[in-house]
Parts: sequence; C-alpha cells; structure tokens
Amino acid sequence: MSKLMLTCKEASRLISERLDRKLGVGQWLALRMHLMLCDGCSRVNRQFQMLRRAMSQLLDSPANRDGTDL
Amino acid sequence: MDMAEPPESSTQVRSRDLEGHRSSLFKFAMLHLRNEAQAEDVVQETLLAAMQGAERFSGDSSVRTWLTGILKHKVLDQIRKSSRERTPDPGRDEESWGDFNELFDERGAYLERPAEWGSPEMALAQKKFFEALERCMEGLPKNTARVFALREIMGLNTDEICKETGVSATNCGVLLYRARTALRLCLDQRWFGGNR
Repeated sequence: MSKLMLTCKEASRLISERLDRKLGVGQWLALRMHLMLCDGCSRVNRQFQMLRRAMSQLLDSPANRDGTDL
Repeated sequence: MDMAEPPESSTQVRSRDLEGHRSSLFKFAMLHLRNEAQAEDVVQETLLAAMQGAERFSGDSSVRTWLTGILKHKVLDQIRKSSRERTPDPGRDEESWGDFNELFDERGAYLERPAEWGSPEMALAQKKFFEALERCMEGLPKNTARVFALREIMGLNTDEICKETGVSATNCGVLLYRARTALRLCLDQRWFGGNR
C-alpha cells in the first residue's frame, strides 16, 4: 500500500509517472495531498506539463517552420 | 538548344515539394536515432517511398503529416534493428546517470526549491525557447533521449516503447523521469534563468 505522506523525491517520480500511466487510487490521493501542501513540487508538476506541451510543438515550432513549406 | 522547358509534370512538382521537407524530417529522425548516418538513411527511404507512393497521398492531410507518418515507421524499424544488433547493453551512458539524488536532502525534500517558470505561453511563442529545448535534448544520454522522444514526440505509450526498444517497463519509467528532470534543470538554466 502506498503511504499517505510522500517525500518530494517520491512525489516528483509520481508526477512524472502520472504522465505515462494511470496512478493507483492511493498514489493519486497521496500525490494530490502532497501537491496541495508543497509549492516546490507544484512547480515541478507545472514544469513537466509545460515540457510535454513544448515537446508536442517542437517540430512545428517557429524554429523549424522556416524553409520547410516553400 | 532553344527547346522550351517541358511543362512540369505533377510528379516533378511532387518531388520538389517533398525535398522541402527534408530538413524537418531529418530533425525528427535525429531526435529519435541520434545518429546522422541512420537519420539520413531513413529520411532518404521515406522520400523515396513517398515518391513511389505519391498517388496514394489522399490530400486529406498535409504533405508533412503524410511524410511524418511514413518516417515514423522507418524510424521504428531502425530502432528495432539496432536494438536487435546491439549486444545486451542497456547503454553505458545511462548507467552512470544518477536519479538526481543530489537535488534532495536525506529526508527526500528539495534542497533548493524548484523555480517558478511563469506563463508557458510566453516561452512557447518564442523560437529561441525551442532552440534551447533542442540543445537540452542533445545533452541527454542516447537511450534516455530516445525513450523520451518515443513518448513525447511519437506519442507511443510505455508498453509500446518497451516492445520497440527492449527496455523494461520499470526502466522506461526511470528514463522518462530522468529525461524530464534533466530537461527541467537544463531549461531552468538555459532559458528561465536568463529571464529572471
């Protein structure tokens, strides 16, 4: 069973894992609770999500748009 | 010779159209393969396959989307081939990579609080941000970068990634976490640090 109080280290792993698979209810609750209380991990959470958005746009980004659609 | 240029046939137009996509296809391939020769090969094969199958292009999607669809298959073939050829060596470069334990104290709390990045829209609108992201991607070890690209660019799920690369599900999760953390720290330095 997952424990109730996560460390930032555990929380950060789960923040990443949540982007790849559905967490178990216990893990999900523990992570929610940690994120409510922890500014640092909330930032990591937003940064990982931002990274996903950025990666999905990487090949269509302004840096790669030039010269491809002549 | 005073012969007029023959009117361009549709296939000539097509092959020139395709050529214009070469550099972005190459970039796509490099993000996954990290090997110039292999990337050039798969792009060449893709353009060739596209020219041969030009009549199969339905026009429902953009040429770029169509080409990328072909390229995905070629890249995955290449990944499968090289994961078969490689002796079972999960990548030495990844082994020496820690789990970023140095970011945490002995109780598992962040030693230094992660920084605030502000609005993502600001960064995502800028060409320089994506250039920084590309440099950061290049700094990742090969297998880590590959697994991350398969996940975030090709959009495979972890089961599919395990199947294509031979990396176990657990390792896959570890590599994705490392990639995200490394990129987060790299962008923090290269991009957000400079804007603070």
